[in-house]
This record gives sequence, C-alpha cells and structure tokens, in this order.
Amino acid sequence: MTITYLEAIREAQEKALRDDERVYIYGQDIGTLGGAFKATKNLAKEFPGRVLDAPISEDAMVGSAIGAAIEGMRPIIEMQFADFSMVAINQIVNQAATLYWRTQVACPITIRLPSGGNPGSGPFHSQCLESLYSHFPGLVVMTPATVEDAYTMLLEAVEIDDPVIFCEHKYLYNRLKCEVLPETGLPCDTARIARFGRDVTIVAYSAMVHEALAAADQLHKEDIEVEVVDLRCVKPFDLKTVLSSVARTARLLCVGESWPWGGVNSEVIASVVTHGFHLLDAPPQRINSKDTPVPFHPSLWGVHKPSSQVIAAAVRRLCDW
Amino acid sequence: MPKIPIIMPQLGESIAEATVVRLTVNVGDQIANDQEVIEVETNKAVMSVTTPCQGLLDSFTAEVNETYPVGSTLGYIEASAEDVERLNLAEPPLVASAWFGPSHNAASADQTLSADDSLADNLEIPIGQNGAAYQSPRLRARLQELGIHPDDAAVVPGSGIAGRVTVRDFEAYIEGLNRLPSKKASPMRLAVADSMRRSWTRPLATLGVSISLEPILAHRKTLTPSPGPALYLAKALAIALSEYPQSAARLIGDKIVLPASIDIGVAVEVEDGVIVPVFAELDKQPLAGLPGQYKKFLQSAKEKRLPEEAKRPAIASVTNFGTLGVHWATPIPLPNETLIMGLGYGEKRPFWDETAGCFVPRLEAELTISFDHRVIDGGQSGRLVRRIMELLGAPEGL
Amino acid sequence: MLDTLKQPKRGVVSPVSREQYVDAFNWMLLARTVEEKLASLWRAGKISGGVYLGKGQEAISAALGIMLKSGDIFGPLIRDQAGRLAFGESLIDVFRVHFGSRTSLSRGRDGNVHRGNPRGGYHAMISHLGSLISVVAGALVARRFQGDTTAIGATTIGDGGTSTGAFHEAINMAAVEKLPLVVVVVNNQYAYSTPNSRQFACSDLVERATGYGVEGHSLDGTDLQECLEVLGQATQRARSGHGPQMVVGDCLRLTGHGEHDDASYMDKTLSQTRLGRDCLKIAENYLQERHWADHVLLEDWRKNAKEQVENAVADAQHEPLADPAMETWCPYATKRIASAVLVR
Repeated sequence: MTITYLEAIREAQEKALRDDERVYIYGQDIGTLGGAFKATKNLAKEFPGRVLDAPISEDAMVGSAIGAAIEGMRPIIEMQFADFSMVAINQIVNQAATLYWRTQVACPITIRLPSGGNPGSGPFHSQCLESLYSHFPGLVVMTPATVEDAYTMLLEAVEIDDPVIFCEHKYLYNRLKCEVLPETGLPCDTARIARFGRDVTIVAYSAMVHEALAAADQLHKEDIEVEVVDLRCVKPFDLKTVLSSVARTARLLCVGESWPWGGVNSEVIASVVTHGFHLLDAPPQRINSKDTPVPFHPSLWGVHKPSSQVIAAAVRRLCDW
Repeated sequence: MPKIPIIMPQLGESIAEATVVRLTVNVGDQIANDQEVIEVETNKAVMSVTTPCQGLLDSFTAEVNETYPVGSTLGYIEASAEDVERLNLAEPPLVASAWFGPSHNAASADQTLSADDSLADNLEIPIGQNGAAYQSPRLRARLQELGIHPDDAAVVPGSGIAGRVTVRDFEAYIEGLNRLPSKKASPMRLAVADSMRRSWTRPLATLGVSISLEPILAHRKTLTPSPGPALYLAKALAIALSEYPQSAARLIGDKIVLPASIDIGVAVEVEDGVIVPVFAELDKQPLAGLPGQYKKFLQSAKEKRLPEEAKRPAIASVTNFGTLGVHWATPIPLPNETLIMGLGYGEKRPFWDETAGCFVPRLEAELTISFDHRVIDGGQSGRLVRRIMELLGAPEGL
Repeated sequence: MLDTLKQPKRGVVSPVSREQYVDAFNWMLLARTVEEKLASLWRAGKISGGVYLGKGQEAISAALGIMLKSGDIFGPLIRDQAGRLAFGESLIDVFRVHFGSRTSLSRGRDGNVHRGNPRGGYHAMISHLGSLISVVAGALVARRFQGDTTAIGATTIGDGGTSTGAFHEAINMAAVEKLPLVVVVVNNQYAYSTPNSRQFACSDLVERATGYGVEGHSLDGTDLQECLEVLGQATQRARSGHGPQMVVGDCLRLTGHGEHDDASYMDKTLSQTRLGRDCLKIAENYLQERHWADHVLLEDWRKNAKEQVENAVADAQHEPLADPAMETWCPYATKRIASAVLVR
C-alpha cells in the first residue's frame, strides 16, 4: 500500500487527534468536505466536534487558536491556501509569535499552509511564504520535502510548545509516495543529507529538494557529484549540517521557491559566509523564484520557479569558477 | 540630606527633548509627593514635570526657554534619608538616554562575538583562516587578473594580521613595479617558473662526489655513434633505480608511491628555458641505442616539439651542467620527480696512484644528487651514488 | 449621544446591593489613585515609554471586573485599570511592569498596559485593536472542549476598535460558536483624536449586535449603578447559555489618549454634558445619598488607597530592572529549539 504526502498529513492529524485529546482542527471547509485538498478527509466523522468548519475569518481562526492554546489545547489551523494566511498575519506574528516572550506562556499552535503552486494556480493560490514567516522571531517554520517528514514533522509540530508554521507543498501532495509511514523521524532542527556528493552542496527544502535531486542525477552523468542538504525546517535551520557539507564541497548553492529578497536562501548564505568563509572555494549562489507575482499560465509558471535545469546550469557555473 | 535629581521625562514616544516653559515652584519650597514643579513644552503639548519624591527644592539647573534632552537633570530635590531608602532613590535614575548609551551596544556586540566563537569550537574547521598565509578572495582575484601566482605574492611585505598581504599592500607593490622597465615573459619561461615553484615546496638536499671519467671516455670510443657522459649517467641511474626503486618514490599524503617503470629524463637547454626529454624504461634499453635516440630528441627539443614517447613523466632526471663549464650545482628536480643527478665540468686533476706511488693526471668531474629529503635520507642517497659510481667505473656492464 | 442610550432589553434586573456597589467603588478609587501615581512617576522620568489612563471609564471597568469570577477569562484593554484590579491583579505588578522590573511577568520585554497572566485567565493585550477578542473566544472554545460549562469570557474595546476587521471576525465567530463571551464596547467618544463622526456611521454601535445575532445592551458609563445592573445582566446571560453579549457603554475620556497627549482637539462642550461627568464623583454622591458611606468613610477609603499605592511603588522600586546581560534573547518556549538557537 502506498501513502501520498497528502495522506501522510491526514494520517498525522488522525494520529494526533486519536492520541492527544488536546488536539482539535479548525479551518475552512475541513469538516464535511474534508478540506479543499482532502487533508482532513473523514476526520470530522471520526472525531465528532473536534474537526470544525470555520467562517472565512483567518484572523479570528488564528486568534481563537492562540486563546485555546493558552488554555492548554493544541489546535491545528488549516489555511485553505498559504496565501490566505496573510489575512491572519497580525495574529500570527504579533500575538502568537510574541506570546511566550511577553508572558512566559507558551503558544503551541500549528498552522498548516498549503504552499507552492500547481500549473494554473496563479498569483493567489501558489505562494511560498516560509521566508516571510521566518523573518519574525518566535515562529518555527517547517518545510517537509518527503512523505515521511510530512508525517513525523506534523506530529512534532503539534508537540512543540511554540507556534509552528507548517508549509506543506501542494505540488508534492499527490506526486510523492512512500510505502510505510515511519514511527519516528529526525528532530525538526536537524537537516538531512538527501544525497552525498563531493563537488557542490545544494541546500534546498520542500519541493525544491526534488528539483535539486533531479539536477544531481543529470550532473552525475557529467561527472559532477552534488550533495543535497534538505533543511527540513527553515527557522531555525541546522547551520552545523550545512557548514559540515560546505566543508566537504567548498561550493554552495541555495535553492528556495520563495522570493529572493530577505529570504531563507539569503539567510543560509549569510550564515555560511559569516561562519565558514574560509571553507568556500567559490562565491555562494542562490536560486529563487523570479521576483514577480506567481504567474497563472503553466508555461510562465514553469519558468518562474527554480527548475532542475536551471539548478544544473548554476552548478556547472559554480564548478567552473 | 541626599540630593535627588529631577529628570526630564520622556514625554511621548518619539520625543527626544523638551523646552522649559516655567518653573512653577521656588527654590527652597517644600514639595509634596507628585507635585508638579516645572512646565515643559514639546512639539506635541505643554506638560508638567514632577519630582521622584517629596522634599525641599534644592536647586534648578535648567533655565527657562532652554531645551533639554530626555534624561537631563533639571534640578535637585533634597529628600529625607528615609524616603531615599523607601523608594530606592540612591540608585542612578532610569533615564531614557541610557537606552542609547555605548555600554549597552558594546555588551551586545561582545555577546555576538562570543556566540560565534562557540560555534567554531563545535565544528571541524581548517585552521589558518587568517594570518600570513591567508589571501582574501579579493587579493586572489587581483592576482589572477594580473597573472600572478598566489605564492609569488609572498614577496610583498604584508601589513595585515600576522603579516597578511592586504589588497592595499599589494597595489602599492604593483605601483612600484610599474615604474621599472619590463617585458612579457615567454611561455617557456612561465612553464619553467611554474615547474620550479611547485618543486620548491619540498625540502631539497644535495650531495656530491668526484668521479673519474676515464672509464667512460675509454668505453665510448668503442661505440659508434658514441654516447655522451650524460647518457652514461642516465643509464647508470636507470640501473641503480631499477635495483632501489624506493629511492625514486614520491611521498603523496601518507603514501609512498613507487615508480611503475624506470623512465629517466635528460635536461636539454633550449632558448629561454630547459626541456627534459624522457627515455622510457631506460633500464631495459642497451646503451648503444641511446645516442641515436638522444640525437633525435635533441633536434626536436630545439624545435620545442618532443615526440610523444619522450613526453611521459620521468621518475628522475640527469643534467650535464658541466657542458657550461660549471663544476658544482644544486639542480632542482621536477615537481613529479624525487631526485635529479648532475654532472660537472670534466678536467684533469692530480690523482694519487697507490700502486705507482705518485700523483697521476686523471679526468674527473663532480657528480651531484639533489633529492626530496622527505622521501630519502643522506644514507640512502649516498648508497645510490656509490652504486652509480660503481656502474660508471665499469661502463661495459651498462 | 446620551439621548439614544438604551435601557437593557430583556430579563429582570437584579438590584445592586450596598456590598457590591462599595466593592466596585473601591476598585474605581484604587484605580484612579494608581493612575494618578503612574502619571506622576512618568512626569518624574521614572517610567519609560507611555502611560495610558482610564480616567472617566472606571465605573464600566470596575463593574465588569467584579462580575467576573475566579476561573473566568478577562481580556482587558488600555483603560481597564479598575477592571484589572477587580479581577485580581496585584498592585505591585502594575508598577513592576511600568518600571520594567525583571521580576514582572513580562521581564521588561513589554511594558505599561501590555501585561497579564494568560494562564490565570488574565490576557496580555497587544497594541493591535480587536485582535484580543478572538483570543478570549478561543480560550472559551478550549474551556468547552475541557467540559467547563460555567466560565465566561469578557473583553473590552473602544469605539475606534469596532472599525477593525478583527472585531468583526471575532464577534461573528463567537456568535457562530455561541460562546459565553461578553464584549464591552466603551464608547468614550474619541479614538485618540478621531471623533465618532469619523469612525462609524450607524446611530448607535449597539445596533451592530443584531447584525451579528448576539444580544445587545446599552449603559451610561458615568453611572456605576447602571454599569453594575447592565453588566450583571449581560454576564448572567452569557453564563446561562445565551451566547455572546455585546454591551455598549457611553462615557467621555477625561484624559488624553496617553499622558503625552493634552487632548487639545477634544470638543470642550462635551465635558458639560451628562457624558462628561466624572463617574467617581457620581458614585461618591450616590454612596452618600444612599447613606452607604459618609465623608469620613470616603476619606478613610481614599487614605487607604493612597497608602496601598505608595507602598507598592516603594516596593517595586527596590526590584531589579531589566538587564541585557540577564536576558535570554531567545523567543522560543520549546527547550530543544531554544538551545539550538542559543548555540548560534
């Protein structure tokens, strides 16, 4: 039996609801419909009163989750699309993210953000907002790239005492499959070496890990061996694993699907240059989506985000340096 | 009685200063708790300043119509010791200006530095990230732009940490050079320079002995075309190394790499440089065949067009600096060779003949060996030289 | 505005007892004393940042505070000193937070009105108006999950705060969930300097209750008697399963937006109207009219309040202030995450 990335997210929520009575899920169309993407399929029936349809009020959804968390609950909020979380950004960054700092009271909420695009999704159903949320102190921002991580990291997100922005990638929902879900996974603040290689380190996360791996396959035929580090969690991120990889390869390329300005890529590069300047044999490079809104038409969309071809070309240039 | 300062309060979020409009009490007045004593004006409003406690108004240091920054002392109130203790007023007052004080910034900067250090401790990071050996990417880029090898920047005196050459040091050096006459170096010169630079990274040692050339001169007359002394030496070296191949081994990392075949180079001077054609598997080639091959190599070396078989990397070379009239030299082996042998100028010298009991003239020259002292020691190189002397003493065996 | 004030629409108003009235009055008096001291300390340069006072709003705030019971949830806003004290805030905490003591719950990380003890049901507001309503609603959601059927939640907002999207989203959501939430809208006529006429176009904010499908109540915020009656009724309705209650109280802000603001923009004639009455004076008169207190007793209460405040100020000034060297500089609660971040 195979399990998709989307099913893993559903399974994780089912397990959380089953194992922990503090957990409930709140979001638009998640009850009878089972969510716009079916990430909560049948959960409302299975756990009556604990999987609740919300009015179209993202601000109030998050605000109420904060209040419930203060009272000891572990709410999961499903945003229908990551893009709509912006309506709740005040609650997320000013209320939830600051609560522990201000009051010594933890805010264990999980906000699920169906992120990234599919062909034809357009500017308001395709955004990748991990860089935005990473900017604000107090948030943990997870970006699982595998079915296994989608499962164990979502369970970990519910357990963590801090507000977690869980960026699940819509492109991976039904394209990634695994055979069996793991019991445990790496802790979220530990990166994973998705592929070993001696020539160049690619740091990626979420769907971009798969683009990086595809590029690595191609480059292998050209005798370039790429090491791919899957960050898994972009805030905080595992600088130690990244530096260890750069120490081996001396070349760094960061790939992220969010926009370039002030993003995860810039932060990873800044940290590597600050702490590991002497490890580098070439200037670190990054590839982001283009600095425009996400285009609707598939032909534009395919070029807007980083692809394995663009990644491979950047690696070749890095090796020539 | 303790004097407690009256402070200009922070009168609004973005307010940095205020102007004193009026003193509403007189010096010497008894001031009650929470009593307003000074009226001040900001760009937002007119407001009143109170004192930290009750007491006798000691003095005003502020003047009417003057503007004072937030946190300034505007005057003093004489408080009872009891009030000072009760309200903890002996501590310096909390003033807004303290936020911008240098001490706070310095403290946070220190914290950042120490945090960075602790990270470095947790990771395996190559040492020597600064200091004399360190060249910044910018200096390296500049060196590359000018075609200067990074090692050659060592001639520049450095003013950075541990004598590091900064870009400014380098530019000053280049500016000085630009005032001198110069010309473009030939590709041959650059190739030799590169080769010698790479070779010089090793500890090289040289030792030498005098040998008699008489047996060689006698023997070469028996062969047509007759081989030169350098070919005798090369052949003797080849035989000796086939017996002691570890003498020509190379040290790479923690490995001793042994030669696969006994390929010996013979240095040939050409215009603006040296070319070293290689005799492959020289231990297995008869001496008689060498002069013909050497002639061919010589011709193509002068044309700087060596045949493929002569271009393979040698395991050792010989150089006949005697042809220049030089008696003694310390030649440098090529970067991929562990040793080079040299032959000096041959001349008649008095030699004590034990049997005759007198000095006799004898044709002699100096034989030198320069070697990578990491790989072989004096004893080993001495034994190698002895064996070669033995072979050259009986050239018919070559 | 006062002419349009509505009387409570339904239910029997339980009479206000002397005990309850005196209780509320003393919280009002203590709050007024605290705030006067805060203003004085601010003018002496002892408090960083701003000081925001609730002068003129003590009656509504105190009445709401005493209607809440232990186990209830309270999300006060900036002019709720009386309600905070009545709900159980200790005096020294008020001054600790204002001074920025390391011993305060916020450890000098946030100041003045941004204080609370959320695990004790006493929420710490952020500056973004309206955003606390859904938080209090969410706490009630949690209570429902946990089987608590008795607790209610209350939060306050001003006339300006009703214009936010957060206000709308939260009340609508609370109505959908039928939560025992009391939202008290204190219309003090000005949002900073903006008058009602530039804030909303309905004739009375209480009309909005109908639109949300919640019960609406109006009261005269200058009259403690009425505040107690109406808020007693509203909290009772919420407690007995009638869903969210929206109470609109009218009064006049008798101070600037903060102590840095001289309120020169306010319509001076308003202070001559019924709205401009000082609720504390009205309450004093009422106590004497009803013979619930004479001027000797009142003076005694005043003296007592002043003494409590002076002692709290003295004690708070002995506590260590926030210190960069003692600060963790880490915003995470999860120990593993915090230690991973601190290594950097």
